[in-house]
Amino acid sequence: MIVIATSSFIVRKGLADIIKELYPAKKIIGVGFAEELEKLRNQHTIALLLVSAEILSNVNLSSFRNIQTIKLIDFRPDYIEADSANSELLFLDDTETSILHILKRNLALMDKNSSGNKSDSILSDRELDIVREVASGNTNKEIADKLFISTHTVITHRKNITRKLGIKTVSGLTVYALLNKLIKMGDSL
Amino acid sequence: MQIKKEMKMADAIHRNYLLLPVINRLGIQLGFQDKTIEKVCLKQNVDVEFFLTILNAYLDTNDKSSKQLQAHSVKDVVSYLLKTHSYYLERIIPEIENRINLLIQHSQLNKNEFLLVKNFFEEYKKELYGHISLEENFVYPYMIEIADAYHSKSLSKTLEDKINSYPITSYEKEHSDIEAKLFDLKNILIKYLPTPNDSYIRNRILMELFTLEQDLNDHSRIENRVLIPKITQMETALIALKK
Repeated sequence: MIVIATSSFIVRKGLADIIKELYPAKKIIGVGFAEELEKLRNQHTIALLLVSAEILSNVNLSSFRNIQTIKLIDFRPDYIEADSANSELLFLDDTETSILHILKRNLALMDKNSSGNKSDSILSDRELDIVREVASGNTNKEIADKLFISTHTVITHRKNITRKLGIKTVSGLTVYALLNKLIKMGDSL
Repeated sequence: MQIKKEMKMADAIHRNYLLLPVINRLGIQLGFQDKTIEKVCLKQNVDVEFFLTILNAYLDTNDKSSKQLQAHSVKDVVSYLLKTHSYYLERIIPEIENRINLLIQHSQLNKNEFLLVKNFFEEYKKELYGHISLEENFVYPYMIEIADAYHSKSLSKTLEDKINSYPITSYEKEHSDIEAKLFDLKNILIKYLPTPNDSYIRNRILMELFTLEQDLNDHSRIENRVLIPKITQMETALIALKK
């Protein structure tokens, strides 16, 4: 989801409308307080965060480090600290063209990032464990012993994996695991 | 609608271009003007009834077409299947290989990603070759031996032993892993390799794979629905002869 965090109602509403027009598919949520933002952060995956400086100064920054962020700046100070590679500045008093430009670029980037992770999200964490083990050449029995589950459970997981990925063979799963960096070259074979 | 001998050969191709390699295998080459299927077959010395049955079995996958094929001699059907083998080995597999090699030249795949696809295809190829050589060296000769014995109504002791220890059904159709690998390869190319700037070469590979798959399906359909039931019947008749 896309989160817009600022105490200004008019900015929240305005940005949400612009983004909706540019990118109708994604869920947009507006929050007005730092506590609300932290709660969202813990419960959901935030694909793109637009956040005002005052809210950002009231949250635990380290838990937001990995989120693609646009900082909303409502006045132009002489000096702005660039504190994170993941964040970008949006001046609220900027021209229409440059605001749209920044939003478009970030939405495209968000799309690219999330499509890179999509393969991970199709499988559950447990299923990912199983793929890793299968791709590393372990038998169902070995996997069951290693993960403390029954062979029957391993087989059920494998059936679900095949159905979700459309990959039936062990060598196919190995290719999948390597392409998605679930295992490293040399872990297999 | 079935393909009939009065139909123009060119119209059969227009109906489904996938028949192109099929008619080649049956001994027909292009450039047949506006002649009917019957005339072309006559001129190029091809059994028109067999020709029609193979084409119709390719287009129409229900049991009725398979039944028609059962009327033809085991030898004819096997020799057609042998030609499909050489088409795979000499044409389609090397072509897919070439395209996979092109993939690295024309895309930003890194070397490791490319090698994954290449190795996977190598594995598939090895299994396909193994399967083909099993059929050519054991299964088909056995089928022809059975058919010969059946028609001459004479069963040698060695053949009797073979029937008892390795009947045709014991060559369990282990097509399954080969089919699964082909299926996986398609999904790896469609879904899991990194997005290229341009999908053209990957599309070409996929089209070849889809065509190969369809051809392989036709091939195993002929084996499973035509040859195996027919040979099983002959085996039973031959054993009964002895009693």
